[in-house]
Amino acid sequence: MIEPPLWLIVIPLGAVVPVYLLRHRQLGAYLAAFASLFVGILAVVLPPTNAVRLAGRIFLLDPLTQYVLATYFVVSALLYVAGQPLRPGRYFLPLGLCISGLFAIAVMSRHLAISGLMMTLAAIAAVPIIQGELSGSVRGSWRFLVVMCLALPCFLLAAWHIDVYREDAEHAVYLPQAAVLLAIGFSLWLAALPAYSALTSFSTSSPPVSSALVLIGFPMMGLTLLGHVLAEASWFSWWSQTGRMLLVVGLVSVTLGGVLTFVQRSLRVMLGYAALYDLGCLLIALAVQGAQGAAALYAGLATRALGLALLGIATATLLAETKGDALSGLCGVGRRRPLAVIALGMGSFTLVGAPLAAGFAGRWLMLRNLAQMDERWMWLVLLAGLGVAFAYLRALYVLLRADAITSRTSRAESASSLWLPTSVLLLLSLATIALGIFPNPILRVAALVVTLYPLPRL
Amino acid sequence: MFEVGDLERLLEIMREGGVVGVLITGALIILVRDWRVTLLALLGQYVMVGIVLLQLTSPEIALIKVLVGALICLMLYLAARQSGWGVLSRADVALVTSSGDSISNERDPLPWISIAFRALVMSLVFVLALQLGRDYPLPDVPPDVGLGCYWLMLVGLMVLMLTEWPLLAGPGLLTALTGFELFYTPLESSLIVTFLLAMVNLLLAVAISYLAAVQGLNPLREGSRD
Repeated sequence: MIEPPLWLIVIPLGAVVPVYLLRHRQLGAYLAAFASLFVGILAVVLPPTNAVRLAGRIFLLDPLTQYVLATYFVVSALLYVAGQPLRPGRYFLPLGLCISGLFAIAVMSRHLAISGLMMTLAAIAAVPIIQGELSGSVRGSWRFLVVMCLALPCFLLAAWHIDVYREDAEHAVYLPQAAVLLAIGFSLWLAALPAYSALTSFSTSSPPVSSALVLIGFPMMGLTLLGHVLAEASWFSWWSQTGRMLLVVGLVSVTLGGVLTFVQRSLRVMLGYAALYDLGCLLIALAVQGAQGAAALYAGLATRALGLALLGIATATLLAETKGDALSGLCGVGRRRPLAVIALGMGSFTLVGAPLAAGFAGRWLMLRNLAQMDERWMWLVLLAGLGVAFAYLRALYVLLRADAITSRTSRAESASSLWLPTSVLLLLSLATIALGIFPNPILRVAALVVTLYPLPRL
Repeated sequence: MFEVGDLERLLEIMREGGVVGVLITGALIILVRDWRVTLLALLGQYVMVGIVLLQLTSPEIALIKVLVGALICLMLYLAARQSGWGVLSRADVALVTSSGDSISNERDPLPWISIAFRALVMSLVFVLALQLGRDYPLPDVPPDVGLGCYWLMLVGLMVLMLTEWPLLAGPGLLTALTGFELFYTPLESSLIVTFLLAMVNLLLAVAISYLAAVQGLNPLREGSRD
């Protein structure tokens, strides 16, 4: 008899082969989306269970893991349905499911070595998705692979140090080393300077829907595992140092993301840097928790997934019209795809945390907490956010220009063939507007997760 | 009569020989840019690491490491041949510079400068590995093995910095991980972790082969026809 939490691993991994066989048909996308959606709902409805032992290791489905997996599985289901007509590559669906299953193992495992190995396997599986069968530059996928693989030794060694300490408390001398190794490992996973290019460079050449899937998944699982270490590791006691480090890394990521998004002239590259900006905000939200605890972080995890899904699908839909992705070659393209332009705007506003977009409530909480610590940092985050917002407003202006409309390429998809991505964009845009105007549902869920799985104040 | 003490002494000699082999193969990986030599050096490196591990862990684990290494080298070789590396001369391949995607159609005017630079880097890495081995000795492994671990990890990182071409940088990444495994394998008793680590290595080689095949040498071949 399979323990209920293990279904979150078995179903996506079990669906890989049938989805691979059906990958060329829309049915494959539907099957992948159905499996993913089903697992997402299962993650929500599964009752709290005791720890499960598998191959001698402990697995636990805690409320944070449930929340994160449900969010990821539901958003990835939307990406599968919307992404297939946009031709993200033949490995997108099967390997996407494979990555989902590996993520589930990684975040449910309570052994850092297993989590590290699973995240590395997921990164390896992500390489063909990122590459999208595009010949030519492999720089982005190569950098991503290298950075994720270099983090693995840190987690394995840290896990060994912790195991040795658990066997004999006299080995507590190893714990500072374990903490340093974890700091390095998480810095690499969470694209801290100078590893930020691991997350941003692949968006340059990768299909935008694939980029969105990877940009949503890996940082989300990295943050969840970091949350597990902070909340559950009895040996960990470096709270204030961790808080300072997270704050600095978050501020650097926010600044870099804001400035570099502003100077970009390509929609794909902007996606990567906007994601970096948002990731920086999440790190700050983890470091600076106010009266609401980690509510800003938990709300931000869901709205980030929503924003990046919107940006990824909208970018891919707009680029289906033309050859390149430089803004200069996209003049007036938005007039033929107005809904994609609206979705692009809503996605960017969600990541920026602008009013009337889903990210606003969580960002507001984070900024308020940050201002209580130091007002200058709040202004820095706001300025960086303006950089991202201006970059996308400029893109919207170019896309809607009427004076120089770029002609369609011969390989451009017809509007009727893109009804699925357009429908998903409409659905997600309405969702982000609704959550922007009425943020209570997302705040209530975040508050519930905070109650069930509180993170320590750093 | 052959006694237990003699066997231990023999294993110790083999281990020391293995460490010397590790130093030599690491040097070859950093010095030579011909993919054939790099792959041979990588294969030799896995064999040497297996020999070193014979004394530090069970023979089965050491054998698995060697077999996994042989499979990795085979995969990389097939990927290299499939993507056209085998049909190009060494000089042509050497033109695929560390700048990653930039393909030059002209011959390297100063090949010795590149070799001298790599030799200098190698010397610095060796000094650094010696220093690290002395100042931060690795726990539970003999000092010579600690030197081998540091050496392989640093060589791997250096190769990663010198090139972004997957087929040339890939052995660097694998070398860095091998250096880590040389230290980690005797520490970790869990079979599941050992199995998963072997799987990571194999799938990493698949990913490197995939990237090498996707990128190929098409631009270079087209350039040479002009």
